[in-house]
Amino acid sequence: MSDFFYRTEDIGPKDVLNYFVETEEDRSAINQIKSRTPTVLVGSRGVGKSFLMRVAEQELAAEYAEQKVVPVYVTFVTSSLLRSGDPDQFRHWMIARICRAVLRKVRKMGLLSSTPSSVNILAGLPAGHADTDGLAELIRSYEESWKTPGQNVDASGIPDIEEVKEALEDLAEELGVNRFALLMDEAAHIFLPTQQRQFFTLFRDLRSHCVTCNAAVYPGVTSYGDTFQPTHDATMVSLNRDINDAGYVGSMRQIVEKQADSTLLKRITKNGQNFSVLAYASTGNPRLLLKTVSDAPNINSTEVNSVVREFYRGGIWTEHSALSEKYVGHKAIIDWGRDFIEDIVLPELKQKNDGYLEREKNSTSYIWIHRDAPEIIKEGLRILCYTGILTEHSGGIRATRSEVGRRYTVNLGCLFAQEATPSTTSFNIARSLTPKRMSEYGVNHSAFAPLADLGLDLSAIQEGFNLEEQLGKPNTVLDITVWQRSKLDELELNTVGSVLAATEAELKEAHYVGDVRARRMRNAAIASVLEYLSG
Amino acid sequence: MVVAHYNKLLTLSEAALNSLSEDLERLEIFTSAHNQAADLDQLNKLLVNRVEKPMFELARLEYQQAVFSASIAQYRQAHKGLRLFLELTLCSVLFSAHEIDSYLWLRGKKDSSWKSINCVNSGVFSKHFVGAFFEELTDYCDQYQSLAAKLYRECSEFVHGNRQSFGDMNHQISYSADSLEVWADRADTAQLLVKFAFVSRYLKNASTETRNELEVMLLEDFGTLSAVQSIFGEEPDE
Repeated sequence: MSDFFYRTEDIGPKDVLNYFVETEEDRSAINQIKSRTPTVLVGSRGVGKSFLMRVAEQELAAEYAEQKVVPVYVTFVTSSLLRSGDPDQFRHWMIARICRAVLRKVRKMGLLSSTPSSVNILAGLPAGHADTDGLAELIRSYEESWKTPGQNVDASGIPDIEEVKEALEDLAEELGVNRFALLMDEAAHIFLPTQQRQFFTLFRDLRSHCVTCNAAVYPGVTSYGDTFQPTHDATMVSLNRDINDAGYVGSMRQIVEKQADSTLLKRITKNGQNFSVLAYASTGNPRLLLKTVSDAPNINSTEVNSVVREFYRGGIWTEHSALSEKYVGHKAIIDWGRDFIEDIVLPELKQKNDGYLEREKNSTSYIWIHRDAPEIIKEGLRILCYTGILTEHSGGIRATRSEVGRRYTVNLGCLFAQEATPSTTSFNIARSLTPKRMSEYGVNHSAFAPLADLGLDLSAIQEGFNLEEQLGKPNTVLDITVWQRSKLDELELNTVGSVLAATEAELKEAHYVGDVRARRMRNAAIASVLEYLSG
Repeated sequence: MVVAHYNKLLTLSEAALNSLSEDLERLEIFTSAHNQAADLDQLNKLLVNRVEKPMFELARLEYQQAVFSASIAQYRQAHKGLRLFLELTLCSVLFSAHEIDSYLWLRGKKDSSWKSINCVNSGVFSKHFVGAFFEELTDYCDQYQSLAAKLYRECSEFVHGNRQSFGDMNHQISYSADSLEVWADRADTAQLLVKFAFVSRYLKNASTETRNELEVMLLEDFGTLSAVQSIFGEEPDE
């Protein structure tokens, strides 16, 4: 059986191109990232944001000789662990990470042999002294602050943003580099608006003729701070694979092909329609597809029926509902989202489709929400987009009586899960979809009342979550493969905290010492811990 | 002395076959792989009077050889045989479109090359090739092409002795249920690939009589493809 990678982090940067399946949208997103215009990639979990950034990084590195653009990939995924006493910890930590990443990259590319004086500012060191130890130490202090919350970290060595900008300009000049392309992954934490504001301010402030900022964020990130203006300061690119595209199933199949063995490929070949059902159900999200395929390894109808029903009725919601346990302040909003989709939207869409298909008309998986719907309802929809239950389809759509609103695609898997035998009926639903048909929800739709009537004040909701409580949770909350979990159990790393605190040596005590798998497994475990903590 | 040594190996081989025969579940899988050789005889009917026929017939022998190796727990040999079978068969299909190559091959003046057999632009599963003989099947080319590449690669690991091809094999001759299962699954995949190649290359031009003989076998694997259904005069279900 093929052992799938669910996350880009599990694949080594150099191997990324081996797993890359290019679609037109992907290509234009990559070109956009590589270009001089700052770009913000927006997409829900698992759609491939990190992956595209890695691909862009590899391509820019390969083209360095002609273009003289240095790609610098930096991830802020550990931000949820910052618990130091420094009020500006997030900004300081971001600057430190960016500086270190730039230095590492130019050294790795062999551009920097001697040490130009401008480098010292980046490293937070006096002129004449050259090393990144100081920075690394600082970053470590911040990242380990979860062990001793509230402790002070000495950030006096961190340069301010203007200094960094100037240092980068000088460095570019001295090294003969045209510009640095910063690729900032996991940039803004969805439930921490303060961090979002700080990030986008940095994004805006770093901009110069020799620095291009690019970021990957989740849909629903909306706090941009005072200086950053979306669309003006960056091109926003939404990552959605178009389910109506003729080559859709083919490109989803190729994603699986890259990781599958011949046994699985043969089954896919023999059960083309069943595979298509899974591909459509994933609604363009590779991670959902890989997961459901690994749960239905024979791709036969029985398996497909049960995986569609179980995963899209249960599994996909577990993640969503877990959020409400972590972000207690948002509980009412998160829970309303689930009720809204499960009790109102899905039954309505199902009923419509039954009628449409009987009369051989086009089907729907689209809803429309009035642009003046209550703010708190929109927050609920944003969270649904974040977990991939909804995908933004397009804004500024006129519906009945010329009212304007936004159209969303409901995850097809959730829709298929309403069917008695998804393997037989859902293929037709998917093939006859048209965005022209949609369920409409006006300004004061009755479905909004349960949440809107609570009178919650969005700005008063407390940010963040209780870290200690989360670290005490069992490792079953982590999104890893069965094999990976069995290894954690073998090592008795039973809680989230123990997995996070485990050293590499400890993790390697499981069977397969020194094996490639051990490294992969460690990366996967840590990545899933961080992803779990970040929402 | 030396004869005694090899007699011992024969005894071990025999014991391996006995173990297989007692493992009823695997025995079924193995029997199915064995029976697939008969399907190859059926496919041979498509090659009446064709110059590539001798090549395919050698490939068929190689398949039998692979099945035999699997029966006596020679799993590495079984994979090598399977790869050669796949390569020779598909090469015969490729050469069928370039008659001169078939003749040259018969005279030992032309080699088969996997690179050209599974070439994206002109190999047996390319849209170019399939489109020439059975245009309606070109939609499936990509799938079979990657399936062929993957299977060839997996079998090659045994030829080149990649570390993972040693797996859990202890170096004695002894029956391994897992190894047998893996091999049999790959053998089945090889058959599927070969059948698709034959269907796309020869079926349209086959005589009605031959088609009728092949109908049951081919509908088993390709009955869901409407292009194949219509050849056998069936209406698609939808």
